[in-house]
Amino acid sequence: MQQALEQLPVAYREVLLLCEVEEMSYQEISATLAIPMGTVMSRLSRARKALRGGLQEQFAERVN
Amino acid sequence: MVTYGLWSWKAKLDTYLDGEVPEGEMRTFDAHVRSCPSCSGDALTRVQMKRSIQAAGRRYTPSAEFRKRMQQKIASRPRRSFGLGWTFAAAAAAIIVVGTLTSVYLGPRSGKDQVFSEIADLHVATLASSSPVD
Repeated sequence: MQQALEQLPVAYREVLLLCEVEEMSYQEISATLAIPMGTVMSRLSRARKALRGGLQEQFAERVN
Repeated sequence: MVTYGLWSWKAKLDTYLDGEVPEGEMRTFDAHVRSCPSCSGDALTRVQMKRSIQAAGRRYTPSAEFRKRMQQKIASRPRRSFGLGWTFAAAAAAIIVVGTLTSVYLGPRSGKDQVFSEIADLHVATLASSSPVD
């Protein structure tokens, strides 16, 4: 998981960490990073999707 | 009453689990997740994912570059002036009182934790009912 997290683009990683680890609301993240709420939501969604993809790749590598 | 197709529910599931769905829609979402095995299963998977990210995130050591970037962003946030000091003090006191009362009434669990545990219970119940033990 940590490896997959580190492989995320910085813009996705920062939003994801602020949401999940710091437990900030979308509005707080939006204010902290000075980006619109819609951007917070889309980056979060893409970050989670990329993370799932990264984990699946790691799993496939281990199996093969 | 808000109604969605299955894919719309799924698309908003992360927002729901982040507690960011508007109050009115939250009840509709709760009801749907309770009644839809597909969404409750999906919600459980996503909750597990969230927990893993939280655990990994706490152990995560940011690179110097990443840390610098975050510090700059947080430092560049516009700060409120304290010209209305008493207003802020009164608001802070009110928040503390409301927070204390809320925690007394709601107990130690946070709203998110309660949603997560309800989803987990629901999923277990769904699994148990669809595959009865001989």
